[in-house]
Amino acid sequence: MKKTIKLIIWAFITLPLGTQLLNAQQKNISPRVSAADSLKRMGDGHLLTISETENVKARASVSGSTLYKTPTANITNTLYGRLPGLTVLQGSGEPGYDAASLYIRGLGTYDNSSLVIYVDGFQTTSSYFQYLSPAEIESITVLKDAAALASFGMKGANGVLWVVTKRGKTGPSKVAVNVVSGLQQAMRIDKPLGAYDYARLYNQAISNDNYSLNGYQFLWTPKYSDKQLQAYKNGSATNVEWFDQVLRKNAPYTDANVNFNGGNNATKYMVILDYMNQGGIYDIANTAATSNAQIQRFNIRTNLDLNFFKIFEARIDLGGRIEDRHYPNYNGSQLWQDLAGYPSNIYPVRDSLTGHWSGTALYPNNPVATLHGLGWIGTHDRTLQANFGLKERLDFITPGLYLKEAASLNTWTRNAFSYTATYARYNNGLQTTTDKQATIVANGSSPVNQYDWKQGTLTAGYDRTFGKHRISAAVEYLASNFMTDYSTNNPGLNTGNNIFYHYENLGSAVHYAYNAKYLLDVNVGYSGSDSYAPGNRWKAYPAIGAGWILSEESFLKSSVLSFLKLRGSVGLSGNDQTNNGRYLYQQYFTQNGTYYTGNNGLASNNGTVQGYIANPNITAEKSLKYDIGFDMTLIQKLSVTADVFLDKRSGIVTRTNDLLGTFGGSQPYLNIGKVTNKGFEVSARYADHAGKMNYNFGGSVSFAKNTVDFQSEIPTVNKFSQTTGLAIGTPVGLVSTGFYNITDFNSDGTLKTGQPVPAFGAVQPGDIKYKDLDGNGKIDQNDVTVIGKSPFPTLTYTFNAEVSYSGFDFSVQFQGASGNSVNLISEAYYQTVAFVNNINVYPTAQNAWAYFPAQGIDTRATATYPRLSTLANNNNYRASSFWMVSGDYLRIRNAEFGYTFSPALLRKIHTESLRIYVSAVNPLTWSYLRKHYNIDPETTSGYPALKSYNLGLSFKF
Amino acid sequence: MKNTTLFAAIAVIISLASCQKEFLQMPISNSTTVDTVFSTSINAQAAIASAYQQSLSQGLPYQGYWNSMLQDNLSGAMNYGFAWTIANPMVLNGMSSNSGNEDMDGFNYNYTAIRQDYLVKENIGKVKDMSDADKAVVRAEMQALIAYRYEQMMIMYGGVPIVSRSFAATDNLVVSRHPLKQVLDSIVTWCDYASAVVPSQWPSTWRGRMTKSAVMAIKAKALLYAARPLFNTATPYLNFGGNNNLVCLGGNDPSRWDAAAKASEAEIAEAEGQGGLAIINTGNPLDDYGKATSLPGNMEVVLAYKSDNSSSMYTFYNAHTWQAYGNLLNTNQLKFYYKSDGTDEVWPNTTTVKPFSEYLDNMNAIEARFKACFQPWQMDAWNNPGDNNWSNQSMFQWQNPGCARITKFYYKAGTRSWFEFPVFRLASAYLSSAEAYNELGQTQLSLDRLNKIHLRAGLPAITEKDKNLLRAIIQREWMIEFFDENYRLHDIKHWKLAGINNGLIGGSITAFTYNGNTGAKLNGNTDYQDKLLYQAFWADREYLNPFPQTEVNKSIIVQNPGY
Repeated sequence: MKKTIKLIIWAFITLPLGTQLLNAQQKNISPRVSAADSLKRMGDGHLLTISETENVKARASVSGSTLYKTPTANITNTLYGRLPGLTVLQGSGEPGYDAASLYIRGLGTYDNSSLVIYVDGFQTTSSYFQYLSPAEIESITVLKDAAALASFGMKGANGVLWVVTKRGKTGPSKVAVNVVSGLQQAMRIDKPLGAYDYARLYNQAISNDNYSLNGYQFLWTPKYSDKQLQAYKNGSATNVEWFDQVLRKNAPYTDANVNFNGGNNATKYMVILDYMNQGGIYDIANTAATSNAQIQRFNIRTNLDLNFFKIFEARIDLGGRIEDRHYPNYNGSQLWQDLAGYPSNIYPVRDSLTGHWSGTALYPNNPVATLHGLGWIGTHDRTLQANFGLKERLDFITPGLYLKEAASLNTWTRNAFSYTATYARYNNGLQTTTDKQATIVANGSSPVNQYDWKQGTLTAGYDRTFGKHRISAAVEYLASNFMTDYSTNNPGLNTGNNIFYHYENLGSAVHYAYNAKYLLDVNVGYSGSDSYAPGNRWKAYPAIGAGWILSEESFLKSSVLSFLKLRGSVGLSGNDQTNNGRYLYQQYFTQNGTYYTGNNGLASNNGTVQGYIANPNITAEKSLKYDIGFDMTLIQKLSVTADVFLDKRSGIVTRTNDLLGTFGGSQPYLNIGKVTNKGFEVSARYADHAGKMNYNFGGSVSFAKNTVDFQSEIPTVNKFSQTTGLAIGTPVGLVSTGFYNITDFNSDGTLKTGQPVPAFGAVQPGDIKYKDLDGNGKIDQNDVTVIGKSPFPTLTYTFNAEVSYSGFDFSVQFQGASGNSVNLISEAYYQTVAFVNNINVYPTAQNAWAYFPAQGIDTRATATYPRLSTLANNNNYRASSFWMVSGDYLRIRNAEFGYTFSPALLRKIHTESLRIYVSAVNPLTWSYLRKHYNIDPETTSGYPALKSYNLGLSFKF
Repeated sequence: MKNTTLFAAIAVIISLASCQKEFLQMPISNSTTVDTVFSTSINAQAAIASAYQQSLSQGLPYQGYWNSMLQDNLSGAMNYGFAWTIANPMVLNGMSSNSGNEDMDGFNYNYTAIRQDYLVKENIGKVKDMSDADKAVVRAEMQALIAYRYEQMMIMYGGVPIVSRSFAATDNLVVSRHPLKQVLDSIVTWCDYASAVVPSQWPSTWRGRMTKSAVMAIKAKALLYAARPLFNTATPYLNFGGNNNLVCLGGNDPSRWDAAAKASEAEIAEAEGQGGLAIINTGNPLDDYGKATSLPGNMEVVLAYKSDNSSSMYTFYNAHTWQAYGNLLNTNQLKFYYKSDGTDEVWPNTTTVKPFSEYLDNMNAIEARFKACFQPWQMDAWNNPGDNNWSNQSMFQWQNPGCARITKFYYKAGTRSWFEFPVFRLASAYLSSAEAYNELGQTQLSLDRLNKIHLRAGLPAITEKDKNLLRAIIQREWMIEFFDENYRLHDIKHWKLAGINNGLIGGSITAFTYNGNTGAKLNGNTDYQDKLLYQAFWADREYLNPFPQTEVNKSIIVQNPGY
């Protein structure tokens, strides 16, 4: 640690001294900033703010106003296709829990691959980021390569999302008001079959199940008589469409915000008030006793900039908010399972004899009664990020020198409360369960979780131009103390103590430009993490980046080539966020049963044994990243940015499986895993005008493909079952070759000689047949191999267009992904598996293999689904190529049509600008899964993802 | 101004940095770490307790897994239990290097137990409040536990890797199989060292830990198996070429019987002298044998598995629980029992049907040791007389084929569900001596030792002088006396008995069926007959167990021949 102290002191002393020397040598230089700085700045960077022209890092930015075009509750859902290299995977649409998952440049590790989020220079949690309003945000930058990430040290390897909030601008006070309101709808509801089809197919299933009992004959042994079927068909028997009963078509969404900003050289302010309300798609009103799913959010942000005493610049940022979430008092995902799983003919919504809620022991949770009869629950979250920063411009010591001190307090607490009731279940006049009818009871609000995060930084920097030399340098010391009691039951043997996270980082960056053409960045992060043993706590992560602005060279200067810059970087970064627990260097001993001694009155002796073997050398996962790219502008209209990258991860924390049995201990976690991730991003934009019409269009493609090079895989019996050498998460399973036919069996129901025998229970005609890959005559877990692609898409792309013509404007954005597979059994179990455990049947099972010649049923030649069964079928419903389908999709993420009133008109009403618009979010999707299975390609089951149609208004005065 | 700011900044940095070392320190923990586990004798006791639990649990279903098994599920003495036990595929298809193993925790777990023993042995010196003499005893105990685990491994696998300390993960872990001779010699050396240090008896609260008698029993068992034909030969059961020394001792050496006899005699002398142990013989055979096998801490038990790691272990023995329902006696074992007058019983063969009354008569005529172990159908248990908990009614589960229900280890247990599995009973030392003396031609000594056990069972003395016939009688005595005590399976293999593939371990396994070839009813059974239950698998490779393929794949351990 002494080394660190020395380093810090050295930095603070030598920087000013060294620059004074330089100063003395070069008397005739001007401290004026170069012209390049006046070019557009795209968000602040870590430590230094470098203009886009001189930037050598791989990064991409999007402005808050662009994100605001997508009216959704969770800011992660505004990011689709907005940032090349950022993969955004849509999740559930449930209000309050609708975050998309974010990854930078695909997956670089099979351990924790979460990116790291900084808001206004301080790291924060994903939950804090998710419910920021786009109205608060100036820009979001994704930092992708080593040159951009090295200075983050152990937080850099998975990439960083750098969020900057809006600040006041010098000028008269301005007020901006934005209101957008719309209707949200499920993108897709995948509904099961009705009572008639259920009963018809159930008859097939149960007859199939009696195949062996009937002497291996397909005899029709229906459960539902023709008369019953007829009654279902003509609607005289019970046929409840649970989805229709429980859901409504539209849910309201509103976001309104007011933004006050202005200031002078001494004081600038930005005050933002935002209110957002998102309702749920359940068909239930918000009353004292019931509640829809709902989130309300109240944000307040005050960002102040103060200049005083000539040398001081202070900034005070207060970003606070309240989130209120309400839900029916029932597990949300269970409700969606009930909706999908409860057949239509089980009972009417209300018992026909008593008028009470229906319910049976087998189907106890009548989905309609779930909304009406159980009360509601809610959580109440309070969040605050308060940052204070002070900068001293020390130009009087040497021009360009400054010091900065900053502190951030980030805190979150959650209270939970509920109003609960129960209801009695009836069927045919009789009470069927022990549940009693009870009136609603209020259960007080109690705290459930919290975190706080205290961070402080000290920075010394230097910014100066000497003739053709321009240098920007900074060194920053960070101390971070995160304390959380939320999801602390991480793996590891010391879970009770896993609530403190202490971290330090000494980040430094030097940017040098010569003659505005040749660029060099040297960045170093030196991080200390409390997860590791003394001696392994501190690691250094250096990186170097270089750029060459070719268009400044005389031999390339032309009117066609407006701008061309080549850049490249190589360097290290680290990842200390393992999923395998912390303090892995500590040797723990764990409780292990009891052993007795003694004779009369046994004495019990509690046992302890060694836990996983400590690894004193455990440290952070390491990433070595390479990046080469260019930024180009042609004829001032077409701009292209492209990057190729390679990310070599090593030291991924992995439990070794290589130790010999004679070792005898519980295997330790070692830094041994290796993953290679490579890919590219290309984005282009063309902007022009034709007469009064302005237009631009653009697009980007991001590709990332990873390979697990080493994961200490337990050797598989057969080589082809191995997952090392494949992409992370590549599914393995059996290879299906279609269905067993009647001719595959002997008359006693056994498989004919030569047919490999599956080890998952007896099979019969219509069951899925698998390849015996190892040729040993048995089909078992040793025959598994790759059956599809990883669930993580390799390719994401977007294209968009904007046109404006005399006040009217139109924009549209497409976004798509491909290169991934969806496993229907795991991702959409209830929509795929029919009847097992008394669940419903979906249309995909309609074309099941069936052969009942006497009934005129014979789908043997055309079947697309294995024979139906009412029993758990271990042979059919297991991971196999049969259930793997492509997850490719293309969506319109956003379309907007607006009209901006002419300034001349507005001046009369003292208004600066006024625009009204209509927009659609996620209105259209094209995908294989939708087309063939009626399943959304990303949100395959549970609360659906949402589309919406909105009307908005924004004006400034 | 300018200097003030600068110095203030430096001062802040230095003050921050000076508390830095603490800042990244792990917070105070409530977990046990290597620093605390051996800090006090209370804490060390916990590690010692686990060493006993892990080391002595070998071959016992203490994990209580749903598919656990008893060793005699494999030996032909009882059926394979339920179809889902790990015994089932081994009985029907043989042992495989890719699936379940008789050594239920897996081969590697032997080294987990051994590691725990070494950890205690190596770290006990750190305990502050324990005398050096006590620490020396603990080290000897641990070495004895290691010896026990190696003795058991040697019998199952032959030569195995010898590990002499607890490895660190970063050590060179390459330890290949050691020759059988070296494993045997190590066990003997370790036992000699340990028996000199551990006490003859422990104070009553610590009874159950290693005594001199127990350590000597480990040595005696190892030397007995070394003298038996499987290992005591130059030509192993399958030719293993250059690796023959892993599966045999390289020559038939009759002096090995001498070593075995000396070891078991030493055990008897120590146990009946300083050890305070004895063969229970009060002239009431059912009571004596019942107590010797069942009563916790009785004077015949040299070493017991006293863990209550999970009461689930007992569920596989206690016929009141469903896990044990599947286990029933086979005819293959039944036929070894004497009638209480010392003659042989006549049982129906697979083609004759006999009235059920004969079944009851025959059962009542068998020797006391049978009665202490079994409860025939339609009868209350002899070993819990008058106890309704063990009546026919409360023990009947469903109609099953099988000669009788198993009640061993529960003599007069009443409602006590647990028992202490006897790892060593003094009777084994007597039968070891009898076996060894017979091989050495010292017939009278052999008969003396054999009859000590045989007479206790209430049977007339054996007088057979012919070496071969006497050997068969001694082997029969082992099978009766030690039913379900984890001897029969490996005894049959190590004796290389001729019928091993024909009704002992492999071949036709038969049991009684009733009422026209069905299971027995609670009451009103009409007839009984002997019927084939299944054909058990046997191949000569099964004299020794396979090593797991995942270990063999690491190219250090050589697989036993034939797998």
